[in-house]
Amino acid sequence: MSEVPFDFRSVLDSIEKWHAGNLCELETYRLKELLRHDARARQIFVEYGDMLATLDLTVGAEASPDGSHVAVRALGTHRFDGHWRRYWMLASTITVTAICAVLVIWWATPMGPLPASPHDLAAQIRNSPPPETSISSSVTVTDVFWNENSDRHPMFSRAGQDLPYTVGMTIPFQASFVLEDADLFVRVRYANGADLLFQGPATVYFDSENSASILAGRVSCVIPPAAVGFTILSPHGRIRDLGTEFAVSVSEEETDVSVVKGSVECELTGPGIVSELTTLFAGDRRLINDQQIRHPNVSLPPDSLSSILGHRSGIRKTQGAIHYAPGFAPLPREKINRGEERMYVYLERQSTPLAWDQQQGTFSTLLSTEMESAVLLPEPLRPEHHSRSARLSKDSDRIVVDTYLLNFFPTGKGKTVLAGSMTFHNDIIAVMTSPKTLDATDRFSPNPEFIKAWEQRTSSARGSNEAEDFVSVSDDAKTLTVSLQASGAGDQLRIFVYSPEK
Amino acid sequence: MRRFVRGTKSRSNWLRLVRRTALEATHNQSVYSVVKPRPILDTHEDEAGHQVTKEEEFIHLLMVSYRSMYSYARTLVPSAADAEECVQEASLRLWQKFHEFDRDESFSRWARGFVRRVVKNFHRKKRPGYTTLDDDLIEKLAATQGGSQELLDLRREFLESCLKRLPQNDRKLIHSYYELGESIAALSRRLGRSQAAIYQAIHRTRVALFMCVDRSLKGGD
Repeated sequence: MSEVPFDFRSVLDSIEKWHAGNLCELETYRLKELLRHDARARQIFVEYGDMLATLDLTVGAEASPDGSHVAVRALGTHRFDGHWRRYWMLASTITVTAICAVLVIWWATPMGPLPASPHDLAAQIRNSPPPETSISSSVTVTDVFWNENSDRHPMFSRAGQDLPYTVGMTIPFQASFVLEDADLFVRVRYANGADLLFQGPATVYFDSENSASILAGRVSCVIPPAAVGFTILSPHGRIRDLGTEFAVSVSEEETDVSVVKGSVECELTGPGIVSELTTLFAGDRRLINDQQIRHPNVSLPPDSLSSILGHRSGIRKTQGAIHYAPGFAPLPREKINRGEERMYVYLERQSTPLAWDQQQGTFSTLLSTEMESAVLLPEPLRPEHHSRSARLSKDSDRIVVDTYLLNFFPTGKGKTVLAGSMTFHNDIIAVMTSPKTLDATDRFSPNPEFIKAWEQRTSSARGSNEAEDFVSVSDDAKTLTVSLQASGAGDQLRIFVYSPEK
Repeated sequence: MRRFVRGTKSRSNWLRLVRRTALEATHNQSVYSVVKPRPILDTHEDEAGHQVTKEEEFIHLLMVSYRSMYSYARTLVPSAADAEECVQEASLRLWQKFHEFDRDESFSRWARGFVRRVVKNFHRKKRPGYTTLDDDLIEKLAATQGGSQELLDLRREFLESCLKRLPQNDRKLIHSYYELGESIAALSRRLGRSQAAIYQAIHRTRVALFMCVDRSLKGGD
């Protein structure tokens, strides 16, 4: 962890504000991160808290310094006799039994609309809106995707009944959650905003408000600042979020952790193991088994996580030689190809506002400053393929797009032909090809390092034989099918996908 | 479509988790009961040889340890009222488990363990989530606190002299707020200032006090 500049006075002010309840969400997040990583900040926090306690204890009436009032309350206002403990045990037993009975009724009741009998206690409990201050005891399903070729809606079993996965359904904490179908994706949301996307097959327990146990399967987590500390527990280790986006794949042998943004902490949790915390940052990957946390041979996320991470980035499915490469700018071909011929697609730029002239078939910039406009798109882009069936917003002059870059860098010198398809969640608006590699010729790339004059590019990056390429957008504007040919040089496509404004 | 076979992979994983949980539980138990607890009789002989009931003994130990428990909770919980509630709840649990207390151990340390668990629960239930401290951070802060007891004692001594050195108006404000227990609203009415101004003055004075203690410790004053 890099050394953070330490400002004693501002740390003190933040601690005082935290005690006064005046610290905003971002400041609180920063303070907690500082406390987590800086022993000096923790020392000040402890000393300040002790000073407040000393000041509080000078009040005579409510909190006597010797604590006698607490002792009296703890023991009850009456003098103890031998019956007190029995009464307490009896009261506790009755309360616990009542709570258990309500839970059993609730659990045994199938999900879905419940009979509206006024005498049905479970119905009353489930139908009554939770008070604002109540503690969340469940997660909510926010999205369900499954193989569109499947002839049935995915089901799960509960209380002996098969029920469909539906958006809005809740899954209580401590209940098992099993996704049996291989192509089933279920997205759930915690009350604190933690967003988890599971890919079947998976077996999961939602432990509490800020944690989940995964026995098997894959999950992609996006954790907002309010839920920092969210923990994924696998049979091999514990992964604790530090404000981030990360993905975990759990198999019988090991747990594979890849960080897309921010950072996480990992540790082993096996019996008798004393594990150091390992901190991972964006782009890092580790494998955790029963004995150790180790570096993988390839630092890119594994293929097993490609599908779930693609889902997160708006790609519903890839087929053939196309694979999703999560969150990274174009890499040197020897790293990205991993020794085999593949095409990699990655999400290049999100939520870019553009003016789309459907008659001319051109994009122009709609950026906020002149400097941005000048740098990014000095003249309108004219994609070679555009979809007329894309369902856009009414005001199609101003649209927001996500752009994806498909890279094909063959490993050999000879002629290579690769084919594949990718399906997006939203409509494809246009596809751009080029006689030269795109990052050398257009200025849409978010990374200035790749915007170079044509003469500065190496010969191997100077385009390919596009005459043999085949590019097609499906009628529903969701699927792009390509067959690309390259002979030593790279080939690229830029895909513009409609991004509905949230 | 590939099916997930429950009988093989999931079951072995499940057994692995159950085994690990059980072992962790055993491990935790051994941490909390390093010395096998002695049974506590209804009556007990104190150091002076007097017979005391276990209720009397408990009250005595709680009174002695209260300051330490409250300080512990107050550090980890933002408001004084919530810290007080946490200590109350911990005290109740202490009484329920008092028969497990080993007299060879420090009652204060034993009690602080209960406070820590209650504080963790408090933070888990608290809204909004971003103001809460998670378990790991609480553990780190508690460890810092556990290792700073002598320093904290010293700081308390310096605090007294720093209180005396405050400007007169600030000293009166702190006296009224803490020693007399006057509310912010009452202070606002009495002093003819807005409540926000009173809050601000108290916050400023507390920070000034802390820095004064810090300077005193370093020999600056």
